[in-house]
Amino acid sequence: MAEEKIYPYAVARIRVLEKNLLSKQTLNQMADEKEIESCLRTLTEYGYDNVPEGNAREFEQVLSAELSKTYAVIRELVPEEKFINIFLYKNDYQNLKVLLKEEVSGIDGTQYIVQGGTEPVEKLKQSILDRNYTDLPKIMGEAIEEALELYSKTQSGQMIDIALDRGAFRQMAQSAKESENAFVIGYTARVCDLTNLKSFLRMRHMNKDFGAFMNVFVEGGDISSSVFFNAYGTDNPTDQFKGTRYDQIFEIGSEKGFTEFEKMCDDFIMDYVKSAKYIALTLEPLIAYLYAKESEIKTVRIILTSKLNQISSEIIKERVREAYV
Amino acid sequence: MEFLSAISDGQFLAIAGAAIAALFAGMGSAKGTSIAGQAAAGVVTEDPGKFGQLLVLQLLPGTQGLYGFIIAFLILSKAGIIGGAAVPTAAQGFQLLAAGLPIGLVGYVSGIYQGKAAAAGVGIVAKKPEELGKAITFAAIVETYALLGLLVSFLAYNGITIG
Repeated sequence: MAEEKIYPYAVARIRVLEKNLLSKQTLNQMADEKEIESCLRTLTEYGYDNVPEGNAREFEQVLSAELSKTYAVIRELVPEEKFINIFLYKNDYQNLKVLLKEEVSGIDGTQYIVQGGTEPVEKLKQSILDRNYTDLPKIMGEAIEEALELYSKTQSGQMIDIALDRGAFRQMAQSAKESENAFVIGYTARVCDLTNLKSFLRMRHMNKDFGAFMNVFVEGGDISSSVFFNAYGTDNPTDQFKGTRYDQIFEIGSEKGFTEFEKMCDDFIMDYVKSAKYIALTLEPLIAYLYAKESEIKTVRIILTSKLNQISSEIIKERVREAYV
Repeated sequence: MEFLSAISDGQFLAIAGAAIAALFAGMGSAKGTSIAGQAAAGVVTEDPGKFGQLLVLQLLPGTQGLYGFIIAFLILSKAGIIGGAAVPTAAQGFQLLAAGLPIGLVGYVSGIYQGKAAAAGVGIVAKKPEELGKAITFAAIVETYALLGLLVSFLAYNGITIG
């Protein structure tokens, strides 16, 4: 009998940390606050470090510090587990985009570099400079080569984004598969599928042909490109997604516009992740906590940015994501 | 031939029975308390004030080892290894061996599973310390089966007469 590995210590610690997650109610209260200072006070209350009292514009540092803190806790708890990389690859690929564009355009992109990837930025820089990707994960090297090749053909910086995005998702799916954890695999498949659904809606809305959609199609989801192909041709694509787990969200989403659809996609994943609340010993709660924290920080960023720009509470509340707790 | 007579010796078989009871039940408890203890340590890392409550949960899977020890002690004394009672025959030795099995095996399995239930209970206490009673109840249900194992072992032991 092969027993699943258990992590009583890690899960128990996460359970305590979960108490500091912001609930949807608290997030809505933050959206309702008149002063941004009150929002910042709430963050301090919930364990965010060094929240600025005077200068509200410095909140971005607080949020990225909080995210790094979260990654650090998970790394400390399960140093041998690789699933955390699935959450970090997006930072690597963001940096690759910046570095490649920096190279082709000659414009300094340092301000767009983000911390927290799986590979140090210097290493990425050196690999690109040497055109030698042997030290990087295989998929990453291939994606860089593809990006450079596409760029030399088209001279379009957008192709760099497209190639690297595809690489990022391929890498995520690969890591998920290697983890052999059903929860991680399910999570990644959903993220990939929803990315494709978003592209699908956007491309159709812009009246692009299927070829353009296939350019941005990412692998790693459960819905194959042929389903999208069939849906692309019809006037009523909703039917094509019947029987998949996305039929409802697609139906509502395609009527309500992108902002709402994006929020629904986030909520959909949160709903999936929430099943980990009832798991007591295995890895799932850790993965869920990572997602919950990422999502919380994203929502807090939306709230604070909106506050700075004097957007009304009602509109902010429409954008507040579901919370884990 | 000497070997065969050695392993069919009544006292040897009784020791084997006592060993099974103490060994397996003890291992079950060790694993169980370890799982619950790790979970408790996770909570205490963040919230040291919960130590007292969590200790109760960690102790729950510890009883199996105690039950195994009791049966082992009883078997050893009936077989004349502790104290000076009569020496059992080979058949009686086998009976004592069999009497050690229920608490040994059930103790092993239930100890581990009770540890997991207790660790899950630690999750409850982490979030809602006022619900400690419920967390204990869930883990304590597993105890029933360890008790039944103990009971059967004891009844069997009680029915065996030496001499």
